[in-house]
Amino acid sequence: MVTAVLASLVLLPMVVLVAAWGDIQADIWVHLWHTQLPRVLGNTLKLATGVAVGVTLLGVSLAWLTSLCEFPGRRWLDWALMLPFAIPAYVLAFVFVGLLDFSGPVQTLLREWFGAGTRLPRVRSTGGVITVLVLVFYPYVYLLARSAFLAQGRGLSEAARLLGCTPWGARSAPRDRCWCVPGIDGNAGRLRCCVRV
Amino acid sequence: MPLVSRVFAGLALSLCSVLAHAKDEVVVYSSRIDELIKPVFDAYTAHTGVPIRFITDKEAPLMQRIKAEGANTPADLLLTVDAGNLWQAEQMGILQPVESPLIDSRIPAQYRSSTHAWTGLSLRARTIAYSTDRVKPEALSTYEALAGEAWEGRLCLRTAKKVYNQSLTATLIETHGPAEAEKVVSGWVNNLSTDVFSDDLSVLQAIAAGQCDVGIVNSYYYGRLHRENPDLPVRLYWPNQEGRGVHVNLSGIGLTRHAPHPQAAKALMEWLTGPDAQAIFAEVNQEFPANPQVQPSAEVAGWGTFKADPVAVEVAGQRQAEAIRLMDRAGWN
Repeated sequence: MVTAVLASLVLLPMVVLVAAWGDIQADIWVHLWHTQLPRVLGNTLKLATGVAVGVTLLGVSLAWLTSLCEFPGRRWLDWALMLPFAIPAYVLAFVFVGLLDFSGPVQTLLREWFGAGTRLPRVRSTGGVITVLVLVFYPYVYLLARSAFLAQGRGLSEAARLLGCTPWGARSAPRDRCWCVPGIDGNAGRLRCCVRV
Repeated sequence: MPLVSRVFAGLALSLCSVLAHAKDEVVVYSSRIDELIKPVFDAYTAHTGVPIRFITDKEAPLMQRIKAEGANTPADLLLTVDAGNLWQAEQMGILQPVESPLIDSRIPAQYRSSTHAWTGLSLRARTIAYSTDRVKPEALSTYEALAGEAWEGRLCLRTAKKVYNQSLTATLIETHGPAEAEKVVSGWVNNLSTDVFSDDLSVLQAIAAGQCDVGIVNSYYYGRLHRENPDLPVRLYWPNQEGRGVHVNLSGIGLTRHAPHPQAAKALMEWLTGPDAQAIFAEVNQEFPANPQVQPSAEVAGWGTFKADPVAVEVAGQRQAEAIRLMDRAGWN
């Protein structure tokens, strides 16, 4: 009973939002479709794809390095790579733009040293946004991939290597594909893996 | 009852009634930030003893909040910027007319609502800022000229989502008609050196850093930046002096329809149009007083005098929807 009351309180703002769709002004939507919507939807698609690819590449490769390889500083990197969890995306975005924008201190200094024509790639661009979002969200994939690689056991990989497989050989890939997917797809991926195992 | 108790009771009752009367306060919903309005309100409380409580938020949520609160609203006054917003508030039915010959005598008609729903308090010019290193003032003339080929890749603008640009476009439509206005706006968009910025300060910093040579900003942002850095290589230019004049907008205040303290609120409105308050607006905010009898601060006067567009500012509200659609079509994001 109490849960139902609390749940309905939480849902109330969303209900109001959905109810607002009952009063649509068609001419505004037609105007938006012809002017802003295609560009805006295109941006969303570009961002979603770019960030998904970026976090996969970054998260999985970093997880592979810290869980299956040994090098100086690995133990520190193990947890340090999760620190971006603590940074909200908009804070990093402000720092990025504040530091690296045309009028910011970095580019101003570069122009002083190397002449007024010196340019860095534009921070206020799709690429810039993708970079910031990848840097903020890769820890999610990193965490899950790292658990997957650790669970797989180093012993098996080393045994496979002794028997002639390359470090990228068949042993690693199939099972890890199961575990990588939840980082991006969420629940659906996890269900698929359980059935296979 | 013994005499002492009676005396005490009498004192207590009269104290209560004094306190109840002192609860004559004014509640303001303001979209102007704390630092800009607190000095003015503190001065009023020091002058009259009436406390002012206020909250700050963006104008859209404030207006929706007053509308949703309806007859139970604690808000007496809505203080916001841009005539477009004030016109919107009036259309939403959340303001009530205030008949005040005092306000009418102090503030020119073009800076007040034609239905007495609100009055302007301070003015700002949305004008051209240019780089002193790369642009000679003789090369500048009008807002419309910035759409020409000579300025290709040299213009920086703020986002079309900001109401100040919507009002600028609205008065452009009022002056030239929609077809010509759209040509001008398309020309501006074509001349952009980089994507639009989210605020005027970034536009000014981009001009100073060399990312572009000219931009269109509100005068007080220039004032703010200039205060921090007197060597700023950017200056303001007053365009359209041969023609209609510089685009001027305002901050203004209106009495809410269901204000709980209408008399006290009206008194505050009248004080805000008077010389004391107008002088504080001018000094603290680096704006132009709406009351022509009050001089702007020395710093602001140093930017030069100019002819202002005589069009009634509420046009910015009447043509706002049209302006937004025009900006969408022209590709001004």
